[in-house]
Amino acid sequence: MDTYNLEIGHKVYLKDSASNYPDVCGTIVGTFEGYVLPQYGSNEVQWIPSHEDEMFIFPIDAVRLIERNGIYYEKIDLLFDKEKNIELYRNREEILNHIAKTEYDYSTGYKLVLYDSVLTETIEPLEKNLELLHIIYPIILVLSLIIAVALPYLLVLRRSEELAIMRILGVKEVEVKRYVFTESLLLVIIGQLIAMAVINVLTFKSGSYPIWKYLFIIIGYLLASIIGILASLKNVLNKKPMDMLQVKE
Amino acid sequence: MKNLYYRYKGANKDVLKDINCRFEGGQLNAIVGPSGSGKTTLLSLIAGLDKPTQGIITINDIDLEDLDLDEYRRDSVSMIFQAFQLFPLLTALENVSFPMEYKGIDKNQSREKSSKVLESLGIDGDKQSRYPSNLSGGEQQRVAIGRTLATGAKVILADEPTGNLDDENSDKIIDILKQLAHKQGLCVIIVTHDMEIAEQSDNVWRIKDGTIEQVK
Repeated sequence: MDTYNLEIGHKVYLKDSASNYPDVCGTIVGTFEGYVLPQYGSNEVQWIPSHEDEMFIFPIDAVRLIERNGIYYEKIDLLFDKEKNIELYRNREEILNHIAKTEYDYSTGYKLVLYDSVLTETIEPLEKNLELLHIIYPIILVLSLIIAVALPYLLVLRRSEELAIMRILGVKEVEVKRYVFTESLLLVIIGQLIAMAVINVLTFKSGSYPIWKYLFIIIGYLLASIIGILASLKNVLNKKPMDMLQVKE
Repeated sequence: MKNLYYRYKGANKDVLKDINCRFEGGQLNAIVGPSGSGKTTLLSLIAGLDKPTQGIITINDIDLEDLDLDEYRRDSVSMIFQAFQLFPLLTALENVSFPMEYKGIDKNQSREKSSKVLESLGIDGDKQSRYPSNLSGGEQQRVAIGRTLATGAKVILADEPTGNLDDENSDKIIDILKQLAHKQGLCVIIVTHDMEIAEQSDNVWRIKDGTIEQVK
């Protein structure tokens, strides 16, 4: 078996024997196991060391070529370590489906196998980060909701003198409530629009943010803010105007 | 006010006890007394900001209980405070105009009237478009008085109106209040510690231990 002594993780440059196909280079991330020579379109791929029943070593760009141009196989598998690659294992089906897109009806009996021994080194620290994020996200969510309640609460509270003056000037309580509620809500909505714009700019390169997450956060924050405004209004307007002005005898 | 009593919720003692007095229009009335004697509480009862535990308050022979108190504060009674209590984000003119605009009076008309009121109090020119923080204490208090006049109130309640002012500005404010009482026939009630103000008033009432007596 001619494997060029290549191992997973090696950088390789593959030159196609037929000049009309592009050269490929990349890191070897897995193996390809087949029973007949792999096909590149309708041509035999010469540059891949090949023999019936032998093991192939594929660079990543070669895998991409398979995806793009279609080398037909009927069985694919991912041999990821379940313990070490939790995230990859979790997304196993998704990856398999993605690769399976290149499968055709007249498959030739190839078996595509991707191993993870090198990926583990790269992915393990990332998975640790992901685990950390899984802990941090709920904390941030709870903190955000607390802030969403507390901030409008304090903003209304800060204006209690102004509200007291309005009451002293004969503005009806219901109108004071309506005025403060509308104004505070408007501020919250403007804040949300600014935050959405900032998120869009920050996530521009890493892909769009799912709309349902947007809605969840926006509606959640809005509801929390409304609770904050109403609670503060109740607290402030329950007091007598002279107490709100802190007028001492 | 007849047989007026007031006790704070949860307290075991009346702050005001058997208060009987009458304030007339066209007069400057002063209420004096030590701290905690109930002066400001009495003022807030007259303003309809709180209700007496017992007894009645009438204005022009109408019991406050029978009035819409928001409307009463909008039309009949107005307050000025030691700390001026102007809206910080409104200009002097807008502060004075606010009660009129709230009543539904046309904006231009109310601004015009407010400007005249402010001019009569010595706040003219660009001072009218300044925010309270850019006015002196005396000027702020005059804006506050302007606001009470713009409401058309017949009763002005002043809680230590000169407490934050120097002598010169204090004199100006008291002169204005005197004129409002004597020339425009308003009923001005001042709560104060300052005996000099009391001396200049037509009537003086002293509150002590929750009871009131007229001393002048």
